[in-house]
Amino acid sequence: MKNNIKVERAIKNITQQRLADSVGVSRQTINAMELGKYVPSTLLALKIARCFETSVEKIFQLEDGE
Amino acid sequence: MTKNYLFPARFQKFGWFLLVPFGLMFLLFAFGPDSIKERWPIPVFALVDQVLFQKTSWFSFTSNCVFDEVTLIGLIVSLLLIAFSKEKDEDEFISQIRLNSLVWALLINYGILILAELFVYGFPFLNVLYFNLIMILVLFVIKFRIELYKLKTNAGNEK
Repeated sequence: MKNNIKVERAIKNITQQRLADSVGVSRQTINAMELGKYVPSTLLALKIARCFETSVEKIFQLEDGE
Repeated sequence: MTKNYLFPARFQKFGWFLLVPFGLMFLLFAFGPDSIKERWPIPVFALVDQVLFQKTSWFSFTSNCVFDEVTLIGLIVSLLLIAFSKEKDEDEFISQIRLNSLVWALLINYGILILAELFVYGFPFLNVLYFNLIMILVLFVIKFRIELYKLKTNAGNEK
């Protein structure tokens, strides 16, 4: 699964820390997601989408073969 | 996600604090002279008791030095508090690292036990069993701490 959290953050101009605080996880978790090292739970994905005021599919997409 | 069995984060510091005296006592009982295990015996209740080559007795009172019992219980409690207190920033990613570290610790622990079973015979095997009492927790704490450290350093500083 790929995501464009980093891009969305740049558009909204918010730091990893601020995003982490607003969805209730540690900054390392946001970092790991941006690097593709961690696939978030549905709950966290929904919270991130809410934070960016968009839908989950806009931020998280399946990759080929998934 | 909704339920876990972890202790509150503040218990972890308490666990590290207890680890020092109980850890030292544990090592003293492992490597120290046997005579320290017989100092100051007190009467204790025994659910089951057996002196070597004698009849097993149930629900009896016996005489025993309780330092080794206190040490082992103290050490287990302190390791449990360290291992299973929440991190200050516990979230789902850290929970996943916790789970992976626990699986790793279990596999390594039983790997070591199998090797010891194959290659250690006679009396030294009792020492293997003695350390095996706390091995899973020790391995887990070490692995989990290393993984958390790597996570925090890899995440680096934000631009």
